[in-house]
Amino acid sequence: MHDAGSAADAHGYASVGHPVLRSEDERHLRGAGWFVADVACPGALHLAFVRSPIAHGRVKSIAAPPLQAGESFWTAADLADIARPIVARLNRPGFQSAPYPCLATDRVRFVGQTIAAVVAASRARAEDLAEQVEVDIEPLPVVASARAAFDADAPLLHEGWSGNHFMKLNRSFGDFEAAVARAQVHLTRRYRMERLAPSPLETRGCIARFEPASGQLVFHTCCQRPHIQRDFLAEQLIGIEHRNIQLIVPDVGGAFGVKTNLYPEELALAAISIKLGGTVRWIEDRMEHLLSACHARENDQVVTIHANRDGEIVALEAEYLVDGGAYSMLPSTSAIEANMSSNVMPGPYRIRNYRVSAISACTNKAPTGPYRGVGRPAACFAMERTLDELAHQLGIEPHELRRRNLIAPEAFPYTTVTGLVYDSGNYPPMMDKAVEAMGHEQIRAAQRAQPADAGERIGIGYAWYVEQTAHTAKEFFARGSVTLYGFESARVKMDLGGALTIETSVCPHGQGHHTSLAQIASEVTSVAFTCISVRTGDTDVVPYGNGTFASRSVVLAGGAVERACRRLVDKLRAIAAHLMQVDVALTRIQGETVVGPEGTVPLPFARLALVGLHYVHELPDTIEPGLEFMASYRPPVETGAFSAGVHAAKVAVDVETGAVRLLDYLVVEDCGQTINPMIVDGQVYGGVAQGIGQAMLEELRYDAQGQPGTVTLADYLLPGFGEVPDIRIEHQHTLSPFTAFGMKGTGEGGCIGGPAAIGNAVTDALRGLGVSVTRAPVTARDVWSALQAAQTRAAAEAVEPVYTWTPAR
Amino acid sequence: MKPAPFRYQRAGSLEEALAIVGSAVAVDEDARVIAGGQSLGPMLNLRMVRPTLLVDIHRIEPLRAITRLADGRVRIGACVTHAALEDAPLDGPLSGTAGDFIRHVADGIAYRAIRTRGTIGGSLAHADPAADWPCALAALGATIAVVSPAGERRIEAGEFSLGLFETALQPGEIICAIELPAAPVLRWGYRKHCRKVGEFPHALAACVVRDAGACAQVWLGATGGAPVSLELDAPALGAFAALPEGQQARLRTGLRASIAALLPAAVAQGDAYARHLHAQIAAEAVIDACLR
Repeated sequence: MHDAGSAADAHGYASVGHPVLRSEDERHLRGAGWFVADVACPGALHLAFVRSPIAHGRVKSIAAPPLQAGESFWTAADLADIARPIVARLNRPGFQSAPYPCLATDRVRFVGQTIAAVVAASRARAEDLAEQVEVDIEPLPVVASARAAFDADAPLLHEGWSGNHFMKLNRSFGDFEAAVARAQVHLTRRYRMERLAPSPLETRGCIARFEPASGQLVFHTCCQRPHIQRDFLAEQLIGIEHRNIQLIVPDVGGAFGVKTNLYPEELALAAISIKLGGTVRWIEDRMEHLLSACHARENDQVVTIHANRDGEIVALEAEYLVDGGAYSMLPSTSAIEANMSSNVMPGPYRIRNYRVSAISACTNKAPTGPYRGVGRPAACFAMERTLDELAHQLGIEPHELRRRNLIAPEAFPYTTVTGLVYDSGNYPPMMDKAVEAMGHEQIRAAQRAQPADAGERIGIGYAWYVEQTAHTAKEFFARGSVTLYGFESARVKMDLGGALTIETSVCPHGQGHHTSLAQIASEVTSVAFTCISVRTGDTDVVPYGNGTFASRSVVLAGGAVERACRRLVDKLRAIAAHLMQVDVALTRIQGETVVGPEGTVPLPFARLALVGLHYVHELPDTIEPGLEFMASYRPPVETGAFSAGVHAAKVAVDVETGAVRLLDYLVVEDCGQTINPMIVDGQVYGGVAQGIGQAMLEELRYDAQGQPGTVTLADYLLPGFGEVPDIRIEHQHTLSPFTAFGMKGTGEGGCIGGPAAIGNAVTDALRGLGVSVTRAPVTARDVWSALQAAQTRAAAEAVEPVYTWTPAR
Repeated sequence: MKPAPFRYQRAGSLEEALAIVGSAVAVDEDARVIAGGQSLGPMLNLRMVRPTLLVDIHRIEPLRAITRLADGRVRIGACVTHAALEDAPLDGPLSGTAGDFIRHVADGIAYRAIRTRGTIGGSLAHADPAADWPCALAALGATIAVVSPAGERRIEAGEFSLGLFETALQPGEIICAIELPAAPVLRWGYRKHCRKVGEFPHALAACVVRDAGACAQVWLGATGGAPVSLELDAPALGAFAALPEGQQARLRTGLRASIAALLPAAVAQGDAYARHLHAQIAAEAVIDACLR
């Protein structure tokens, strides 16, 4: 833990590495944030959607409700001439795409799909009208699970498809068969990670204002990528060009990937606003969010580890089956989860032989897409749970088994079996730190002291992950992305007071970019932290770039800010050198001045700004007036900077109720040079809370007819203060060799390890009772039922081993 | 998530509230009394209920008082919030062991934000099977005072909840107070099982003992219907605290088994885990009462 909240130093200088207080927080703590729902929009009309009540059906008719003056009703036919259906593509063999219309045309494919829209003077009135819309839908057979998608009698969900899958992938790496043949131990396990709702505090929402006079569409929305989102809208809207759209993102109350997609709702809103020539507002409610915003995970896994008796992993085999829902979201597609899981599974381990299949199934559930961690929590769950099973089987401590397989520090840069290029890392000391800080041996001693019939049992579990961050165009191209996210940009402007404004293409939703980027600018220019403003989220203001996602912002926008600031510093020194009549090489920055050789008078930035901006007559022809510097940053290595972490959980399991209590949670993380360690800790805390959610509580349920059973937060349980213990964090700083300051991203790691670490800890607690965790979330009901089943098994055949060995093939 | 249209009237006095509700009942209008609105509000927003008239009683001062009557009974106004009960001073009307029980129950309801608005009378009238008060007040032997233009009548708390969202309230009646018996509480236990803090429990049990020699009575909530009461023939429980650990463990197991055997068949039918959980939580509540 760092000293929280140290302010900038006496000079207001808050350089890289200081836990400076976040400049964003004051307005949020005062309730003065400015979110989409806070945007004043006089005269705006409110929109409510009519959504499908059934999972699969043919829309036969839609009848308008009785409307009053000023109210309007919209179906797909009304928008056909202005909004193209959304089609998400992936440039990978066998990927299947299908149109996702903003309002359903002939078929509905999940409960919650938008069918029609009503516009009225208030949201309440719009909802009154929406429920009076009569929709006649002829029910069709429902595909309610990934496995059912491939049943012989399953209906084909999209016309022209070869089967109900977005994508199937089969890959083999190394000399897989030979490795399997030489392995001494083979262990197979099956797991399931349930479907989740990413659940930002702020739901989706947008306000579309079309100005007929100028032909401009001003679109306020809460998203993560202003320019990309504008581009998507422009491509979907007929007759509107990119330059005709100003997209503004105010404060965003959490996004976690769910706000990277272009949603049918957003497209419908823009289209209706253009048609009406006015302002239309839609703020999603929580039920809509749980029904129709992007879901995530729902990942079934079968894992086989082929190993030697000393614990060395010889080969790894995995099958992923993901329920991708009814449609692919633009742009990440429903294949993102399975593909990512399969690609990152080897994690921090030296695995050279790997075979994987990954299927993204199409079903009659809400579409899935990116959620913090994307594919990694499921891969980590499968890998790390199986490692614990193997360790138990071989009689090796789980942490020791991991240590024997970790990539050695001297092996970096290390290319994984799937082709990821790990830039740097030093893993073994992190394992040591975790074991030491958890009091591993004391926990083992306490377990030995537990009576055989103890009502509460303690356990410890570990989980490793490696997090790819700040990867860019070449990497996305290799994955088959149609949209490539190659760089970020920043424009640094010095004003007459010598203060800075930074306009940048990344778009924060809680990460504190306004603080971290100001720290980087302060580091480079030595302008006081408090004299640096950061602006984001307006396509008419900030330079072009891609936005905030995939743990990239500090590296890429930070790199751009650093570069732009160096240009500014060069200019200030050039102006100073001219005024001092000395060689520029003899000048340097010190505090907020440029100093020259002995005998010259130091020139404050404000004086240089005056010359650069107003008294340009003092400048020679060779120095261009102006103090604005734009830089884009495309990293020299495009495969990313790799952060890593190990999570450790200590739990107590009540064998009478099955309830799991988290007693301790530790994160040992390494994200290279930290810009603001307090912000890094905050990313870890928030991520871990989400990890605990998916490990213990969160689960979207659908019945056999595709009806969702979790449409309020009374049913979909999110972790709160009572469920998240004090999280301890240990840091290590292995610098990236290619990024500015050696920094790496760290946005997602916190949410990756939870299910595996907690699953391992619960299994560890219940070792003697024959129970192992195979599903996230692990619920009290699951634990109790597994205990009962184990007892029944034990009674039926006392000699039957609880763990089985898979015979070698 | 906006409610269907409704009219709203705020009553300044109990008489006014009764008059408004009475005239609505007379014309068969679907009127609902609202106090804290912590359950009714979400149900309105989800359009699960669609009353055409809401009668707001939460500002009626006499309904917000807690008083000790001359005969020792404590009268809690229907509009007293959970937070006010949670914060009730130890030296006020809610002194003593019964007060501790009330404070403990109140403290565990949902979240503080909900407790600052939600009321004890509202919780009873709403009759969510998983709510705390119907079960806790039944165990405490409280009496619910309800009024109508015809006057006041009293209903035993254990007979007030009739099932899911169903109570003994007649059309036109409003809960005005909850009365706690004067007889001192000897010991009590209160347990619930929630998957997360603030969630409606999946099992809930209250055990209140007033007489050292009596059988233990335990009330179970969150069973899907009205609270269920079980009478335990458990003479050893009185001395539980003094028993050695091994015997305590055996007694716990035995207690859970006897509770499980007593559970009505209708409780969580076909769900072995839920039945086990009810028995386990009830046993814990009884043990707590023994240890307290």
